[in-house]
Amino acid sequence: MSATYVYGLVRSDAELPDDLVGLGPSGTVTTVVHDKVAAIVGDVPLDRPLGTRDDLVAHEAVVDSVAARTTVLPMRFPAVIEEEGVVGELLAPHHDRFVRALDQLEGTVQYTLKGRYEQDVLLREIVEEDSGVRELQERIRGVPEEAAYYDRVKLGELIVKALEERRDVDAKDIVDRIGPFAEAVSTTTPTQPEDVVNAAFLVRRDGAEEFEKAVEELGADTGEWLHLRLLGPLAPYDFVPEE
Amino acid sequence: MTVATQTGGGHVQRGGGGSSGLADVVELILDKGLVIDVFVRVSLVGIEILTIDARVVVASVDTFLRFAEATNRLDLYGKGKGGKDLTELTQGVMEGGAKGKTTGVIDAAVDKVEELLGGNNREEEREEAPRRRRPQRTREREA
Amino acid sequence: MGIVSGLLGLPVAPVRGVLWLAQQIQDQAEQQYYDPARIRAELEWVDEARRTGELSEEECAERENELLQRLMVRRA
Repeated sequence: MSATYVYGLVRSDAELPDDLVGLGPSGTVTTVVHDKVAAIVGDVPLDRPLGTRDDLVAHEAVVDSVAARTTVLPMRFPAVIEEEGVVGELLAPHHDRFVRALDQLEGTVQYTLKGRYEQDVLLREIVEEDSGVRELQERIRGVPEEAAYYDRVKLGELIVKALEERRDVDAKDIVDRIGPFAEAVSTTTPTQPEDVVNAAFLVRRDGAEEFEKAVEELGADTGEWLHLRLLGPLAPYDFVPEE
Repeated sequence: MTVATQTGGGHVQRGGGGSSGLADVVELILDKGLVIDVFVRVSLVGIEILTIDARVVVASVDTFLRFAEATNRLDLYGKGKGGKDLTELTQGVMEGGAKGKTTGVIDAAVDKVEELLGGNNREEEREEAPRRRRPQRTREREA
Repeated sequence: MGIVSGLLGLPVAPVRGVLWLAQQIQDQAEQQYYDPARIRAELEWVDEARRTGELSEEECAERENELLQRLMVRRA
């Protein structure tokens, strides 16, 4: 019994790029077709558990290279199944569900936009506007680090709170501005205080150019205080329909 | 492999399609995507399943100290060569803020930043801005 | 084995308060060590270090694998 890695699912008539390199020892990536759906599959390393950085990078590269060309339902890492089960346990029992999901996402692609404050610019602004922050800073100045410990914690807390208040406003502005260029938006709350926005946009392929242009313009307008990163085109990770 | 590239006007850092950093990859493929119960059974046969929780952390004392330090460093810099003192900066913000009210938040913030970086002195803006900003991630790297 | 238990576990056995404190410290240290958000922040830092050339490709890959191991321990 051998194991098979499943990267994602496409329509059986989809054309895949021919330069895909998988995470298995052979590196080969092929498809297993059942009726209207095909699984993108490859071999699995047998001498070690999956989960190295190269495994993750290979999974993402395969899925998103396919996504650049055609609609793909991405699997969550790691998706391993017995070779004999690809049709009988994966494709056949879920065939209609997969077809529905692929139809729903047909013609679209995901972009993920991440924004982070240019730290110094924002800190300077907060120091300006918040007299409480300035007071604490005054008090800490010249006092040995140990002695001012609680004041320093308090200062940092004020700063973080101020950043988070700004983030709520700025994140909404960003999503409001870019949202109209997308079919759907899914936002994630950032984990770091200097992170402003982390939003996935489902974009029509024929509107991708316009979408990218809108983001670029946003970047031009906000570059002084916001560092933007745009990932994509990607598979619709954030828009896989739940069952 | 990670390759940071710039396209178009170059105001936005680009990635994806096999050129994302590992942090991005982790977020995409460990948190998201299709999960089918048949995969879970395989994990019992010896391949570990990795589930990552994407919970939001409450900022910790460590984080607070990090920002306190960054803020104090900033202040020291302001006192240093070429920096403005607080009074001048405050004036800049007041002007920028007032103008901003008519132009929407993003524009207001841009105005404000411009005031902060250069005030009315364009020469100074050009000279000061690159040093004060966070190093931009614009350089291309060989994979 | 816990990060701190190796240091504090041996001689302090009968003192309840001390044990409780040691347990708290250990819990917190482990929580931080395995905190996914923190690990992600470190992954981002490695990305940055790779871009700036602060770390070599080999050093980055090694560090990344180590961080991934920490992410995976959680629910193994």
